[in-house]
Amino acid sequence: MSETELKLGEVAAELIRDGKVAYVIGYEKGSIADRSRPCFVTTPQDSTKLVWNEHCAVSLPKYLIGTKDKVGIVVKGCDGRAIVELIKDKQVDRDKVVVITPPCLGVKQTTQGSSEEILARYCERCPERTSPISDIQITDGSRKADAVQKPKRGTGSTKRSEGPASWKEEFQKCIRCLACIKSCPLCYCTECELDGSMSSLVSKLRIPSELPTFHLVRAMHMAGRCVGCGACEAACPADIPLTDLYARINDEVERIFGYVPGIDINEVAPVELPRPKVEGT
Amino acid sequence: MTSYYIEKSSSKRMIDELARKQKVIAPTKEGSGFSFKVVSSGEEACLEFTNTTISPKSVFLPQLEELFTYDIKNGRVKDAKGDGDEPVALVGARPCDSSALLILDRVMGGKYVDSYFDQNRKRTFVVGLSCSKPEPTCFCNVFNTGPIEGAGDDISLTGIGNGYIARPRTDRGKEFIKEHPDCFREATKREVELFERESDRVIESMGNQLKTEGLPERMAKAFDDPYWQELSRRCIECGVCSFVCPTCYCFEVTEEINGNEAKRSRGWDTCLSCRFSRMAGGLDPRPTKQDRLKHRFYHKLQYIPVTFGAISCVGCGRCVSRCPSNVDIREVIAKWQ
Repeated sequence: MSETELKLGEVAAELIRDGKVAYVIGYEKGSIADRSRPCFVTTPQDSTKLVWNEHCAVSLPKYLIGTKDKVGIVVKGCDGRAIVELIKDKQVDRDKVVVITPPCLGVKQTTQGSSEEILARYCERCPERTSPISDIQITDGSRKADAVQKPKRGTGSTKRSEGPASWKEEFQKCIRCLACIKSCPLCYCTECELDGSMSSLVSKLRIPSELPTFHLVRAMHMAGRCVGCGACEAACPADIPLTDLYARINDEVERIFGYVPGIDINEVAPVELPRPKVEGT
Repeated sequence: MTSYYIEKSSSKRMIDELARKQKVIAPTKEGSGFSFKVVSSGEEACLEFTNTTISPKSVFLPQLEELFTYDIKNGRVKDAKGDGDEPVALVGARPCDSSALLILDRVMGGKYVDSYFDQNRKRTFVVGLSCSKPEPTCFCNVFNTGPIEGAGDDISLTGIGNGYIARPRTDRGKEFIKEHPDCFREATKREVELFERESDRVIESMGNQLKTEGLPERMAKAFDDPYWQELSRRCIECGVCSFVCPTCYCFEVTEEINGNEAKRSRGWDTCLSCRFSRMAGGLDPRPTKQDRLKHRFYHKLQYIPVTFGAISCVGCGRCVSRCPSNVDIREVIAKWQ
């Protein structure tokens, strides 16, 4: 057990013991090698199962949506940005969440057919690994307890050349399972416009010609909102490089509005900017 | 059973032969992985592959399938579709995926025949391929659905050195071998021995020791156990498990209207979706995430065994490796074994 994990366990145990939170959402060892999975620590004794490593990939803020209790949550930089966006969108109450931030190690993955682990593509694009929001900071011996940094702007820009050779081909790989939506921490709508049973924007089973519509509409809905956590890409059974697409669109949002999602809790999102006053009205 | 031998180099020719008379679907390289696709020659196929994310059940239950069109004015069916009866060959199906076909047969080809599925089953010739290197997530040995020779094969291939041992399981398979003496010859005693040794090696390399005797009975008593609540907490209901599953067969039906003509299609659905069991008027017999996740496991491990006599899991490990939250069916079986 690492020093960070020891401290993490202590912090979680204390929060639960003191009745400050109902439970702590974190990661535990998964059932397969190189996989950590979400866990819900409800007793101080259970807190020893918390782990912190490069395989803590799943986005945990998803579990905050709709929660009534006050809870603790262990986050990476991207997860912190997701929580900021959820607070801004009034999906999470700031007073009902205790954000615990160990130093983010990034997410490492093996690609199929190779045993070598590499940093996930979306982590390479991360504007700042330190969470913009934190109540309890956990540091390891090697790092100083740095104050919460203001994430940088413009460092995560994708190059135009990045991404797959043909989006058309990537979209045709889609099996219309909606896992991208279900796994996204920022997708909190109870009824999704892109879930064909609910609307006729795209047909229920999305015929091949509607797949680009589906993906482009989703991409537009992620504009200025995607925090680049990679949850969609990890869930996608067709291995479509979705974060490449959302990053491209976020670059445009940043270029036009100077807005980077999740980094400043007081900044108004471009979609919420007040309408300019029109002369004579 | 007579065993035959085919050189690995001849397997390309075998696919060429198949492609001359029918549509051939085989594993191909795609990105960093593999996927089953239509190939026009043996050169395009890649038989040295780790199993695909999407199972070849799509050959029998297409992910999107047009059923028929009809006139909306008089309701008369104009054009009953289905993919027709043009012959198809599925080459390189792993034993788990091939065995899954027999489970689908029980459900869709039993008392009530699904004509579209039935047509696809009848017209498809399956050349299975045994595994030589099971993944850590594989557990087909638990159900005897692998790792050597799948129950749905017409011909089963098992790699030994530079060739495959080919064993026909059906008359169709026997005939095909007989018709292609340029590809197949009878295996020597030594080759059969090598095959047996290779089979033992692969089976022994799989460590999973789960037991399934009495599982449906024990699960029947565990319906209200708090275990399900705890397990479902981390599930995000994405449904990837059912989309990648070779034995999940549930579909949804949709209509598209164009002028006076309507088209009815169906496509894969998942019981993890919050609308899967919601009825008109809003009543939902499975209103919570816990109900839905529990239903998926009960369907596979309890309802189908009781109704159709076989556990509806072949241990392919796809749901295990693809679940974003690491909900692991092996742990569920271990809990109630």
